[in-house]
Amino acid sequence: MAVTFDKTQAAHLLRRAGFGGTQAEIDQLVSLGREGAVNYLVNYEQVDDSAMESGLTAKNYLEPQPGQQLSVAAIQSWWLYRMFYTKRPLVEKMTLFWHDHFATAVSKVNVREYMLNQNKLFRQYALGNFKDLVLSVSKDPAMIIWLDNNTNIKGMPNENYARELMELFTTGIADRITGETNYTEDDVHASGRAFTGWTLRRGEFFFNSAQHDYDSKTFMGQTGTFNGDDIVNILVNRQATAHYISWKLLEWFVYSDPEPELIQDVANVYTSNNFDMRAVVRYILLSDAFASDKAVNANIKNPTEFVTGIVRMLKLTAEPRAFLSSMSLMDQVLFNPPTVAGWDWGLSWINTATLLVRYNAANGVATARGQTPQARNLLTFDPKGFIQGQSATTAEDMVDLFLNALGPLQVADSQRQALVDYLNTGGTFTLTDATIDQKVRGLVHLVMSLPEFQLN
Amino acid sequence: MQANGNGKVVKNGLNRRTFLKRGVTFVALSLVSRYMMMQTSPNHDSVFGQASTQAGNNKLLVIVQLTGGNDGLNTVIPYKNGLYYDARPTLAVPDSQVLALDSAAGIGLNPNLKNMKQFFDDGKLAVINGVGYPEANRSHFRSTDIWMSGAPDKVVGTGWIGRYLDHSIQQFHGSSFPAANVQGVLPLTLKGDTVVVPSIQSLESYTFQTDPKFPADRDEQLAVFNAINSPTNSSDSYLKLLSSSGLQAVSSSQDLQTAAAKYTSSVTFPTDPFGQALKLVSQILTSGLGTQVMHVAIGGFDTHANQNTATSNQPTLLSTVDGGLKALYDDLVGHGIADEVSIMTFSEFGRRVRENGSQGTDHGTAAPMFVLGNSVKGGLYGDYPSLTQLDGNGDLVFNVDFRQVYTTVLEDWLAADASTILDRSYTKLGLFK
Repeated sequence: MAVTFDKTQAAHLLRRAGFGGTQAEIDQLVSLGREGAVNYLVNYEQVDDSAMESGLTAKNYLEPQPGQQLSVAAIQSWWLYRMFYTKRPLVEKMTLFWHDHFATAVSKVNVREYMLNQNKLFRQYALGNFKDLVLSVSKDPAMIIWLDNNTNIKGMPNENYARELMELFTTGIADRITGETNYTEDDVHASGRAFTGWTLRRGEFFFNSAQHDYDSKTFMGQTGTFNGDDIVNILVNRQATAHYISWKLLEWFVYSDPEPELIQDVANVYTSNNFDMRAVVRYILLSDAFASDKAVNANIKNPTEFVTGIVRMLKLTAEPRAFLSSMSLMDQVLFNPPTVAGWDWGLSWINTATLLVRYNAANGVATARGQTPQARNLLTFDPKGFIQGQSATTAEDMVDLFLNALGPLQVADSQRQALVDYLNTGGTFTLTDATIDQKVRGLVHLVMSLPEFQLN
Repeated sequence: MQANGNGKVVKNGLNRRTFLKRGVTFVALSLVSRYMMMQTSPNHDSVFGQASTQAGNNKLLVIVQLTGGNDGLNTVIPYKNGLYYDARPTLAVPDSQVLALDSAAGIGLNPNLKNMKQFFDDGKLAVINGVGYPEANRSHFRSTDIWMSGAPDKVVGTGWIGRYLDHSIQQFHGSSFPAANVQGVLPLTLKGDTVVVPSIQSLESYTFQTDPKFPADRDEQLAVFNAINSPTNSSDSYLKLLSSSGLQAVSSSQDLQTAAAKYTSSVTFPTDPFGQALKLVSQILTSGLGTQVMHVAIGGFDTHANQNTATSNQPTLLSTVDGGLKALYDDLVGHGIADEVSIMTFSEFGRRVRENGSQGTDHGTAAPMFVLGNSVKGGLYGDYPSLTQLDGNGDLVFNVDFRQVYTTVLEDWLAADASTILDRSYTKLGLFK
């Protein structure tokens, strides 16, 4: 399919493979062309991100006050800062995907250092090899506590990890294409035995051979003295895993309920590239399905995308903790997904309670003048600086400018006219410091309260 | 259905995410619309399971969370037990100051709970001793989740009240506020799979906020908001739902403002944040919006050091709770609904019997709960935990499972089937008249 890789397509790519961006970033992607833009995002090592890294280091989020333990807010800030300011947005987007996929919550794990280290693991393998990732996750201290593998011992197996490894992390219950059941209870028992003795010692993975079941097991039709490594190896090679991971990545990047043919195409890439996620994600981002009308704006922004998108698109100066409370009220607390199945996506984010929080968070941003006591200097939006150098002068120009900057958002004429009328209330809009401080801020609030703005 | 704590797995292998996508033409995202959908969706049996039909009374519940782990031993005090004084050389309340509840048993209240003592004497306060659960978790987060979900054995994404609301959804049609949290984030307690429960920081903030610098601009922004969220000819089902939910979010917040504006009271609530939160609780309960359960929290109970002398010390906190609940009770009396409201306190755990070296106490286990109201059968419930037979950590061994309390509240107060909400039956305590 010949796709005109215009600003709409580039913005779509940047929203899905990242969190949206500025007009300059979109223009840059347009100039690279479709394939060049995807390669730029996927081959992220070639992008210098040292400015974000040094800015993050200077923040000292991870150095708790004397006598205090590392707080959840601190590790949330540390991650959100990365999302807000990275030049490698796909890495953070995939880190978020893996956090949702291998959903682990601090509410049970408790040790924030473990949660932080797991997050670093997801970042390290963001576009890495899926087999290596699953093996590392199986040995990850946070995961071992989260799914009780530290109590999984020979003769008294705890099958929690073994079950979720299949149900949620690799094959899924039923094949995403054929609908066939992927495993039996006997497979769960066998896998549970294979992971006996995979525990922690002094905060690190420890293979306790005394508690490992070395006897023969039959797993998915194969028999041997399997260890956890063998189980992971068998699972990542299953066709069902190829289908499941492909399905889930398509839902994340493209649209819900992807067609079986599409799942199979991606699964083939997964298999032929030996579980290399970079090849899989690159294929998805370059697919016709990704560029199709069906995909553009077909998802709903999760709270992280909502907040991070605003910060990036409006070039805010933002302390992450300015958003922690509202993100929680939008139903997403990073490092604390509700269950091992992660967050529900799509419409689940939207209800009367969470929408009101979104509108009011948008208002908080639009009216963040930085120096007020309420803002505690956590947040600054500078509308004058934002529109500087733009030729917008009329109400229509201004509306279009922000519909573009925060999207581009395709709205009906009646919606656009209502926004124009807002600027013209009390007389034809002219650009002054006073109108910028009042009406342009109000306009930005309203644009972010559009139903279209909730889409991704 | 796998018993793995996976909140997405519903019956018939259909997960909630899939359902929401498939059901997109039916699902609107307010409680009202979900109720309507339940009436029209051919699949509602498989989705909603056993939507309860037996619930349907007008009893109201206020849940008060004492966040941080309230020291139960200094709240309900075994003041004739020498072991208590041995274990608490600097923190013990002198027996002369304790407000006796049962002098034969030697059990009494902290002197800062004067109003609770009066409620007890009036037969309106149930004090449930030694409430806990097996294999107590001493992490604030995890134990809070356990108390809120009602599920010690697995991680679940819904709360016990949230599931009650899900099961009783037909009772709440028409209400955007079947339950509400006041201040802070929405507690797991109130999260259900289908209901929507708001968390209200303050009356002033639970509204479509606009720039405080230009209050005159507000009406204009509201009008534009309504215009840009008005139904369009768009065939995009997401957009339709976003618009209709958005309009309802704002209009229901206005309903709350309107209803709350009618509130008057002869009671002066304490000016502290907890007192003001309770005032908001009362405003919402008396507003006629159909709110059945309210949740409110007061923090500061994590008293590892200087428990009796720190800036935010336990005696002061207990006094704040005592004064606040007295004001709430009086206000409910004044509004003529005191017979219909029960107030319940809980904390994620109690504290260690032996005080630590910092004149504080560390995380413990079992602790007392209070249930207060005109319809409550006042008195002492549950055996006071033994001070000699402690667990391996030197903590109290619980005598009453917290799910017994929940079961009693769900069945005898809210007229719900507790076993479907808590997965099994627990012996009730007979807390209500």
